[in-house]
Amino acid sequence: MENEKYYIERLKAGSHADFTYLYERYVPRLYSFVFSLVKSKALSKDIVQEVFVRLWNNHSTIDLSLSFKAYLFKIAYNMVLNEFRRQVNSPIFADYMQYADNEASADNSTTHKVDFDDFCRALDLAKQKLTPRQREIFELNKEQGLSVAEIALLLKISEQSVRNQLSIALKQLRKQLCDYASILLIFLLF
Amino acid sequence: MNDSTIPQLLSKYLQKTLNPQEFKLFRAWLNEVDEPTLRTCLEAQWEGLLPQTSIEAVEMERIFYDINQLTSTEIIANRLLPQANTRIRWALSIAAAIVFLVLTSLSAYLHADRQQFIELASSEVVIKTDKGQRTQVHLPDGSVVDLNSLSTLTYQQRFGKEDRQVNLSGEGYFQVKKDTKKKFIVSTKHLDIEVLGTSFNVNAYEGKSVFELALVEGSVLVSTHTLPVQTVLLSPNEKAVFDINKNALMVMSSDKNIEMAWVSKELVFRSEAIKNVLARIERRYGVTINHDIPNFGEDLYTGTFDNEELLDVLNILKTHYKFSYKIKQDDVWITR
Repeated sequence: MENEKYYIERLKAGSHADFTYLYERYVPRLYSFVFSLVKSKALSKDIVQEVFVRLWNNHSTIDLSLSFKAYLFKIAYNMVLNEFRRQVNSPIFADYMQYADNEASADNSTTHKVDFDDFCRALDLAKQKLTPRQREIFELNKEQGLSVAEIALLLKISEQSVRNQLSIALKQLRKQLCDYASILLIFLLF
Repeated sequence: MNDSTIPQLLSKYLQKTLNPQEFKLFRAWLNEVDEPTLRTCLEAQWEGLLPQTSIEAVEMERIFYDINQLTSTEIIANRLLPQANTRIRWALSIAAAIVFLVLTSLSAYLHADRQQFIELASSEVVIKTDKGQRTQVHLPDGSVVDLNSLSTLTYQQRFGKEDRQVNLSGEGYFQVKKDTKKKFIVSTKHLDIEVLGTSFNVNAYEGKSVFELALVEGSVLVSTHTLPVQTVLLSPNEKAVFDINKNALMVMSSDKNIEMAWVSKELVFRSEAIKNVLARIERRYGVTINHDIPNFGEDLYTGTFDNEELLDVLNILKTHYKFSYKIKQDDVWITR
């Protein structure tokens, strides 16, 4: 850990080799940290990339009084915070959590993490199996946060109608998503 | 909220997942907690992390390659004085747009007694773009509008005197200079958008049944022309969607990056689903892309298109994905 100071000093002086060394040492940790917050592989890669781009572009102004770990956090913090908040507040993130929760408890050996993007994609595919009306009602309720009453008003149908369609849609989607998960698992085993 | 449960919830969220009740609590906490506390929590988690293998070597290399691409480009750009390049691109985009100055005379007012009031000719400024063209308009008050393809922006010469009003047909990204005394109003066929000073994107192509306004900064008031008049007040990262068939004005959350993507000069994709790639190409070039290849839309694409012709873009994708395509007017048909 002590020798790390030398790497950082050389990075500050402009050494790309030391930049590479520090990248290899810290990227797995940074990626893991970001992923645990934003639950998306693509987003995590983007953020990690941006952090190191900034690190290199501003290498001459590195604060040597901080540990490299702390310095990385300083660069990454605002980006990560924004994306973290955004993801958690996404309309269907709660559904993703529930889906992942079900998957985790159903099969303890699953080390593969279904990330949020996978879930959204699976959901998109599953939505295609719904009738246009079911899909519309699902999206209005789950993705736009409209209540059953508001949907009934908007579509000019009865609230009971909305509830029925929504219930059918959710059942269908759950079934589709479960099928998708097992296919995912099969591909992983081979 | 019980303070002692938060670290546990956060831990559980980070390592695995939360059940619905836990998640509701967690999300509420995340939205209410003050900055310093949140930062401390996250920093503690970060400091506690040990070295690990979370990412494959191949991925690490790929990201590192991209990092070097991005950083060396900036170094090169400095040396080659990008000023000249952007100026040329700039001039071309202005030349591509057509500016009309139309002089129309207003009626002259004659005051019976002594004074004669004659209104000078009111002139109207019209900026139009063709298919695939984009241009930037600087309004008299300093506001800037980026006009997308097949769009028209119109304003009167009296713009800025008491208020600031423009007409838009098509799509424009507005950066409005703040002026609390003079309202800035964008009128489209079905909607009026009133702002004070802010950045937002309006998509109001005639012939489409849905009109959209996405807000980046500031706040706007959107109202419909048709009765009954519906009004919504938008906050950043929200968008107002008006469906003319249903005559319904709704507020939805918006993803800033996707909305504003067309404003920059390059098309950059990083592991982007093909269907999104095609959508952005459609907006950039003013075409509609159709395909009937199953699962094609879900493939991921990484690449950059820098001000290329539509045909070049299609040919590049064609090589990657082995399809053939036909173009007829504004429609592109992709088949395998």
